[in-house]
Amino acid sequence: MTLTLLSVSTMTSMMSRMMKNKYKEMMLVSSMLMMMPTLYEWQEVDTYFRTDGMADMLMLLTVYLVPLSMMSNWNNMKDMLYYELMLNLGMMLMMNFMCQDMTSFYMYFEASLAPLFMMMGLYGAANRDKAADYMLMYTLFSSLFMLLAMALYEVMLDNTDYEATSMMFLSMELQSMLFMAMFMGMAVKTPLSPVHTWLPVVHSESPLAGSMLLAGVMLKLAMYAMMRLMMPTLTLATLLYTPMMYMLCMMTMMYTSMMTLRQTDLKVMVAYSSMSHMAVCMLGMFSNSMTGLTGSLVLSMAHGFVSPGLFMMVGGMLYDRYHNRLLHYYQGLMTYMPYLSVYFMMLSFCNVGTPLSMNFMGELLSMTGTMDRAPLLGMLASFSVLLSACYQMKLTNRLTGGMKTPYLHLTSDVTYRETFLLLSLMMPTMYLGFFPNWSMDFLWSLTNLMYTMY
Amino acid sequence: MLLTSNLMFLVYSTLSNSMLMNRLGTMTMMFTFMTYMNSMSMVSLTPGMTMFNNWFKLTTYNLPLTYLMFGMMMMLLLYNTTNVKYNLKSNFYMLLMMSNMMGLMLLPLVNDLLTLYMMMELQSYSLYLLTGLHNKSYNASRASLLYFMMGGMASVMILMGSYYMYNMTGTTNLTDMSLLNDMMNTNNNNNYMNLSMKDYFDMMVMALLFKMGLAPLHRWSMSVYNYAPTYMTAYMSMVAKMSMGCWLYVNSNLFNNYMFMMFFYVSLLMGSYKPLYQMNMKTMLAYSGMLNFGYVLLTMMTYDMSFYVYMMQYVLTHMMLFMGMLSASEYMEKPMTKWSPLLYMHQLRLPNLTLSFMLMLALFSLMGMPPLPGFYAKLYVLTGAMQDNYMLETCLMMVCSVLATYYYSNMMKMLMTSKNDNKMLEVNNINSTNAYMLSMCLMLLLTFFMYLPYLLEGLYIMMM
Repeated sequence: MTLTLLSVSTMTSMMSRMMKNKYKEMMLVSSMLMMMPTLYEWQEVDTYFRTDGMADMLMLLTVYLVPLSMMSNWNNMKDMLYYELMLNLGMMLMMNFMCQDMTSFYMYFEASLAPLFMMMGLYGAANRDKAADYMLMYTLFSSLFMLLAMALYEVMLDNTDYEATSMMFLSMELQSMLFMAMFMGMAVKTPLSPVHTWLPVVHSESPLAGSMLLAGVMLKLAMYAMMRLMMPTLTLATLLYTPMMYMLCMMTMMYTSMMTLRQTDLKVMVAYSSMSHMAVCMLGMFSNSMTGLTGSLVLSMAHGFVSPGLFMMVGGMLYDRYHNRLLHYYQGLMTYMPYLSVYFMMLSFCNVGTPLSMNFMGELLSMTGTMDRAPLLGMLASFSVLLSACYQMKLTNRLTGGMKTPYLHLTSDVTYRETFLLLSLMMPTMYLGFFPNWSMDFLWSLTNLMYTMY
Repeated sequence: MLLTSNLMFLVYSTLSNSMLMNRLGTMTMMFTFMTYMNSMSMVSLTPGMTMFNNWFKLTTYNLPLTYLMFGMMMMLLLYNTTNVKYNLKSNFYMLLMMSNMMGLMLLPLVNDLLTLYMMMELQSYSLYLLTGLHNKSYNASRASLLYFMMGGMASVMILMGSYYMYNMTGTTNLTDMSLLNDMMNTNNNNNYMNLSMKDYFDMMVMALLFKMGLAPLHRWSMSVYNYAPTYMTAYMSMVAKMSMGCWLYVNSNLFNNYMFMMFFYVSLLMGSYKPLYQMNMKTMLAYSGMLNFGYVLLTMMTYDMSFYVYMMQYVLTHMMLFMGMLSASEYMEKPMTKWSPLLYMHQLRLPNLTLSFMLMLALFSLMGMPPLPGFYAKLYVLTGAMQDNYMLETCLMMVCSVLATYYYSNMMKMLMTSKNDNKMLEVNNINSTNAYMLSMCLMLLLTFFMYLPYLLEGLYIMMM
């Protein structure tokens, strides 16, 4: 599989070099082709490619987002290398969800840092050096602990396969140790509160497609790793550390929501808001109930649609037109960019978790799961809905409402490309909000993750 | 064979030009390597074989590394067979190189304290001379002198250690000593003598590590590497360490781990922390070499095959970096000196994007990005260390490797800026031979994960 994808990427790079004027189109097509292996396998053997619904869902999200993020940078990037990096990044993320082994997971997890680092260092905004360093340092340092855990697995079990390790029953001490080591990697990637500082910087400085993929897919890697690497194998430790995780999630949620209210940079606001949503996902993940787990994954997916959409809007459409990201400059977009405003409002409402959006389903289920597990903390956690409504409404109000400011000149409304992009993100959100069954039917294998006594 | 060719070269060097000499020398080396490959057939001799009245011992433990060393030297020396912009050629280069190589190749095989001293001096003296080969350069002579002084000091320590050892045991042979050691271990009542034998070995280990330039005794080596011409730095910063490291590894059953442990800790800390405020590429690479050798010390303590894996990655990445630096010298319009044109980090803006990409990949590998060799090497070192319960050491390793990532990433960001630099695209390209060597290294680096399983199988069989 790796070789197939690698050859796709190499061929694309080479062919694009031959036809210089068509490279964007070629990259785009090949990013869509990336989906092929998965789909093909489904038809062929009528099985989920040795994965299950949880992975498939995230894989679909990835292959959906990569072409979209390429298209989002269609006009403002004229560099082949950029698209190559995007393609490779998407490919690595894809393989991350495919692999069935902890060490390979770690490998793709780390390897995806390399293109991101290069992308950020080359095409980032003004503060890109800092952002690239933050990203690299934080993730590398934390994930080295994961590597340590994997080395320990190698020493103890001589195996890091998901299936094989989940068959073993490890002692409590060992589980706790492994859990802590893995958790360090995951906490940074999610990100949870004390170690979240890299994310706003990285999001705000990275080029648009980079931040779209970061928010859309890379944050979900943490969720996925939680499900694959930690919950099946380290069951007891997961239960034992649930209170700690809940406290951390609560802290993250409260803190980031409040921080969002204080921000002035549009992209940083979206970044902070995605942090608080990921914390809700994490709460659902640790609820040890079917509702919570389902909610967590549904919210992951929903967030994977909405957050890139918001990024596209503030980092792409508005930024391309006005070349700044400061909240204070924008006002009264409704008066002369009605379409954009409407899209923005819709996405905002989705992000808050208004009923009939997919986010609503996700948040509702995660919260329910959390309440089951820890009523008091669950109650506190539900404040996050209020808080997210606060910051999102502030953002939307400031942008769309009011009069046009003198800092802005009139520009055209959304173009066809942008409409297409936004609609393609909004449609699944709404559709799955109306009919969430489809996405939940994916998740039939979630019961494996629960720890129940019979 | 090397000896013969050395004599031949002595005659030749008087009457031919340097380029011819270098090319001839490299060819000689290749032939020697082919001959040496034949010694692979002795793998089936399980304990290895001794040569020259038990002075040398060729075992499966030191064989892989000598191959590796040989291959690396050939690749590095090929640089000198090409015409480059800042040409540094000398008639005596190959001559010295040959004698140095004799010392280097024989050192890991040493099985006697006397030959240890002799081989050590053979390779050190030729290295001193090689460093000072370009005596027009003030810095090179300075480096040479400094190297000589420090190396001499370490040699004296080795000599003293061997004297004490001979005084106590009445033999200079290492096999005898290890037998004696075993005997001492079995009868416990005579503990005093055993302890002091290990102490004297500690002295020698310290001297060797001093010679390798590992922290805390590293300051001299940093300045030597910095002052010497770049192509010399590439050579001597790698090979001397490697051969001594291999000897230590092969005979590590004779030593205490304390000394290794101390050097491990300090080298790691120094190697990761010191380059953070360095601008000088050569010094940074020297420190990074020291850091990597810190990891290697850990593998010496654990004594498993992660040593070889780590050595391979070390050789591959550092060779790539140095060769890339040498090739990048072609693009230096304002060289720092003729001897080392590329000296500072800000000079890394290269018009050749492929070259900068290669350097970046090598740096990624040093960072430990999968699927490059650096990652696998680190994984094996970690696993080996965990196996022997070196918990704190592994944690320190991680912290230090992250610290090191910071300066690697600084270099990378400098390399990346060359993308935005469109001027001076129309300059001479690097020599095609060098380009070929570099691309070969790149292929080895990128496909490491494919041939690693086979290598591991082979190593496993050899180490059985």
